[in-house]
Amino acid sequence: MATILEMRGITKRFGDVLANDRVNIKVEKGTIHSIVGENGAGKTTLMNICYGLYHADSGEIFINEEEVEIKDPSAAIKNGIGMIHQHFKLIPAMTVAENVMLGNEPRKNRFFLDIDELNGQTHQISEQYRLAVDPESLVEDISVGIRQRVEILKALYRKANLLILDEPTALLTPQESEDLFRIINRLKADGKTILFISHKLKEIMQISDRVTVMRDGKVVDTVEKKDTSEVKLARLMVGRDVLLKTAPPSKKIGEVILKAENLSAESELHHRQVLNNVSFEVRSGEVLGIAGIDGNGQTELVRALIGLQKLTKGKISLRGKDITHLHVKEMRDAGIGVIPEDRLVEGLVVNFDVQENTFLGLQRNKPFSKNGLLDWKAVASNAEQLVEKFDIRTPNITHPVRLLSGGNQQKIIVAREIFHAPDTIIATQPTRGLDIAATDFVHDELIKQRDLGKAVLLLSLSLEEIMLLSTRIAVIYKGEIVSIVNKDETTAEDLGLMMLGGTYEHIPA
Amino acid sequence: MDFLEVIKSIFTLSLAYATVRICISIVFAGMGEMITERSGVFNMGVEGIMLMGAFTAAVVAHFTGSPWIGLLAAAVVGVLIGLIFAFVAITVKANQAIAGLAIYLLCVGLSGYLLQVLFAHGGNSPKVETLPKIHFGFMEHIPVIKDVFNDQSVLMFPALLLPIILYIVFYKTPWGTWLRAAGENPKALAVVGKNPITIRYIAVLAGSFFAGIGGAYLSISQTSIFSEKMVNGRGFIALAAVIFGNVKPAGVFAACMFFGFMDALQFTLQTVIPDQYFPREVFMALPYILTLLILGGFIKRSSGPADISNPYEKESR
Amino acid sequence: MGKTRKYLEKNQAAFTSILAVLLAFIVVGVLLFSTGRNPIEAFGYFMSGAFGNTYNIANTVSRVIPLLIAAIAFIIGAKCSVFNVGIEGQLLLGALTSAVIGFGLDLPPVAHLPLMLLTGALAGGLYALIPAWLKVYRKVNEILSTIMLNYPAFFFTHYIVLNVTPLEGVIPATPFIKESARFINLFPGTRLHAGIFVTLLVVLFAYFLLQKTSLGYEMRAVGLNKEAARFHGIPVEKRMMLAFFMSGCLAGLAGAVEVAGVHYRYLDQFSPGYGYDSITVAMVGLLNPIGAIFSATLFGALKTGILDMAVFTAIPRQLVTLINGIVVLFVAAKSMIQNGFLRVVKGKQSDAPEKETA
Repeated sequence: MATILEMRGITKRFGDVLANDRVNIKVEKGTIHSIVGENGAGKTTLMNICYGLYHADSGEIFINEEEVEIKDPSAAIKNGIGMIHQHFKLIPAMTVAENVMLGNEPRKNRFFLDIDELNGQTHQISEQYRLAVDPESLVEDISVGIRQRVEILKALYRKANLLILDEPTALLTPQESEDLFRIINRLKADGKTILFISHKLKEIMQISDRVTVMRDGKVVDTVEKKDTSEVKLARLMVGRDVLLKTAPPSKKIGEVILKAENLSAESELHHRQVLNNVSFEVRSGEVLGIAGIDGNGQTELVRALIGLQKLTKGKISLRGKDITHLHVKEMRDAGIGVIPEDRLVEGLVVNFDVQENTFLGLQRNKPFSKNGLLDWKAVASNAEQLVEKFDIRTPNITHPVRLLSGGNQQKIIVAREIFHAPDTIIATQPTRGLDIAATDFVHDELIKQRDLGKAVLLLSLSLEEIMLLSTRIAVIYKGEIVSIVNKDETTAEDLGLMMLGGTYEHIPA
Repeated sequence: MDFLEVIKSIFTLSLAYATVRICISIVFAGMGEMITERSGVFNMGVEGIMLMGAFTAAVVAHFTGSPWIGLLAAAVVGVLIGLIFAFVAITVKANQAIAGLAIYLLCVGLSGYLLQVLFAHGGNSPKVETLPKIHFGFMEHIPVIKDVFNDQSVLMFPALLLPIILYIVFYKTPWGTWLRAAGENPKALAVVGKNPITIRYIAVLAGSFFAGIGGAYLSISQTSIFSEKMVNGRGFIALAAVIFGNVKPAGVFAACMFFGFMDALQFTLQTVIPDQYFPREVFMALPYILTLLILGGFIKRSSGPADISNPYEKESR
Repeated sequence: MGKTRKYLEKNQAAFTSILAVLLAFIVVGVLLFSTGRNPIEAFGYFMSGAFGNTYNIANTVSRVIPLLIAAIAFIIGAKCSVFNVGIEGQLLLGALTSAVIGFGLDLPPVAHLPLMLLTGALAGGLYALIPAWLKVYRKVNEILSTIMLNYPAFFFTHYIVLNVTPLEGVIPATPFIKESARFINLFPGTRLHAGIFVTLLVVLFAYFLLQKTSLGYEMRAVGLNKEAARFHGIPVEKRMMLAFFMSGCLAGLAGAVEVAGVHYRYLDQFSPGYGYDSITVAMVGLLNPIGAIFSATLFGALKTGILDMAVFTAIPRQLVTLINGIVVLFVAAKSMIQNGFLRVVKGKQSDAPEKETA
């Protein structure tokens, strides 16, 4: 078989980090080739080099066995490479067709956009691969799954023969993933080559022909799918036997701690209903997981629970005490700790140093503050303690937080919030972007808190994470809790279907 | 005085003429800034660029005797200053508001300094030749039109055409799409092989080009002299017009006209109402106060480009 | 050698700032040269004008007073992500208000001077509440609104001294303030006055507020990351309003101190752009109250030095604004200077520059 892409001796360094270390990879034409590895193993860096977004410090790239220089994305496009990024590169305020054609718009009279051609061509490619996309919808109005197909359309429009998909299933439900795999297989049947980047071993085993494993910036091995297994891949990937463990069942479930009754809220801008009669309770010693696709009210729910989202109706209580109308500070002081969804935006002040971040939100509480004056000694000794107890890797407590790794940044948040919260922890996407070791640490810490009798509310876009940690699982869809079930009585497929609103129409086969 | 009489003496056709006359410079600056902001860059140095444009036009017109060469020079100087801003704001990724402020201060200082160096007296340049005014024979017989549009500066035509041309460029051509894309999500452009940095540079330079012309209009067409305080906040008002007009050609044009009208009204009021009844300082402060009232009170949150004021960062880990 | 290198690396921010100023002066030197002026000679007059003898030094220090107070005004705002470019207007209103209190009331010195300073500060603070409200509740860019609000303040004060307060002589100004409302002069024959102690108090106040109090911590948190601050229960809107108000108060105070210490009346157009200069001073001082002392000294010297320079070399005074602009431009582009600096210090290319999130 012919080789469509070969990368030889690719090395790329960011500051002190060696992101790719003499990487060699060979991709055969017409195959589905996967690259697996942990977060930070260098997969995305390698693909960005292949697509011309980064420049390798050294190494060569061959397309169809000819050496090429890919200095920018247009060179990649010329060489028949298309990339579907993990974070879509779309413009929400423009239509599907405008997004698909961006940069290569059909023209009439040399100067003007040919709108008919724009929509027509998009429609035609969509039909050809049965992607079921409407060219004239605005991107901001379509779902995540369809946005991904728009990205695929973009690559196909540019006549890509090699499609790179970077973590394409990260935000999809099982049903949407099924559809994606169908599309991928269709593309393969049409002679396209697929480079599939993921760390989900199950789907890798389901879809690939060949698998390349990366760890710490190096290629560990390339194997045929038929010669390997999930367990073998995991070992190659991490270097030891780890798969994230399912948490042991709750030991002792006690009284109701956090209770939400009929929470409803509207968005500020368009007065759209973002929460609709949301009710649930979280008991001492349990983890309630809230599963849902991004943008179904999770953000608003968390903001409501800490007093940042105005409710049109409903009641929140903590240990039976009504806390609905308290201010953020009072809510937090009443005993709610929050691990926010974006640590860099909401969780930390990254230009503060470590010790300044360890009492964010507690700057008026004892022992850090007396009569409005800060007690820097108390701050420092508390910071030292947290650094020690949570194994936060930092040169000292006056080191700027922006210079720490994501895992250590997250540990600061977890340490602070656990220290702060006597009763309830709300964890939103607590392991986003962390490697397996750090993920493991955060999971363990949450389960530890659960077993200490705290109530843990977990919101995650990763269904896998919800399944691993939860005692019970609630599914949120369009601002409504559509179902609350015990973890043991459900499956990922059932949950996925509910996350899509109960019905899902697969793309035509 | 009879109240109705006063009103009548204020709202005359010459007020309409003055509105058009005054709004021309604001339209140039506002349209230019709209291009810049559509690409995702906020250039607060417009006021300064206008000032340097006015200065350059007058100086070059003085030494060459030709206001046309002055106009050209003003546009060139505008582009050069725009280049400095673009480098600092786009390439160095400095805070755009502060870079704009720096450009403003720099231009105030530079025009003042060079004025002293060249003419060594007062805050004014010598009187210079102005651009021609256009008089159409056929308009003489059309009431209202003849009073408002006849005998305006030759620059009125490009000023009135600019919004239409920009509407077509923005929404009917590929370049407009790229410009808007650069302001909405520059990464989306980068991955299809178009460099958002180039597009933002071009947008900033185009914006500065028009700001330079808007400034030149003040010194070699609206008046025939450069004075240090000549721009007097018009650049900032143009910025307000862009916000007020939602960064869209028709809206920004309407906003520029409105602000031009406020300024014309202010001048009229100063002459119609004697100083002892009402202090002229109140009228002079009026455009600024009204602009702020409008910005603060009447507009909803504007829906400009999503990525405005953010420096474009290449993919980073 | 290694030690120097470490030292340079650790204090890179300060050195970057110094480099920015040096670069600006080089650019200005080139400009002077290319317009037929002798930059070396100019620099000589400038130095002797600013520091040549004790009189000149005292005058330089007297210029530092309003610059430093106004710079602290900018810093308090900027630390809470409020960019108050309206200091000039607030300063004018503060000066006028204090002058009115100064000539209009008869009070014993213990009460008169403090009352005058207080009302001056309050006037500036209240005026600053307009852009504060516009920014916090109406999302109007405060740089734009504060620049625009300088115009009405200018027209208003101009009108008042011309038409409302009694005119004495031909210069548009208010009457002189009473003796009881004046700062004592510390160095007869110069403009150096006891307001310098108020200035030092202001610097200490700012340092203490920002570093040692919960309120200051909250303001800094708002300045660096509003979302995180809000998420952790800090009332972001209130803090920004407060920062704007404090900033305006200090701007007003700067004006009042000028009236009480230098002019003894409100003189129309007395401020040679202190409000704008203060922004440069604050930025060169790295938005640090202590750093501002150094940069204010530099720009105070510039203000006095330029006078001699203008007299002896035919270099126009507008040069100061130009220098300001160039310095701010270089300070804004500091990441570029910083990278160059680090490259030299470390002796190698610094890849992947640190991301600024401020």
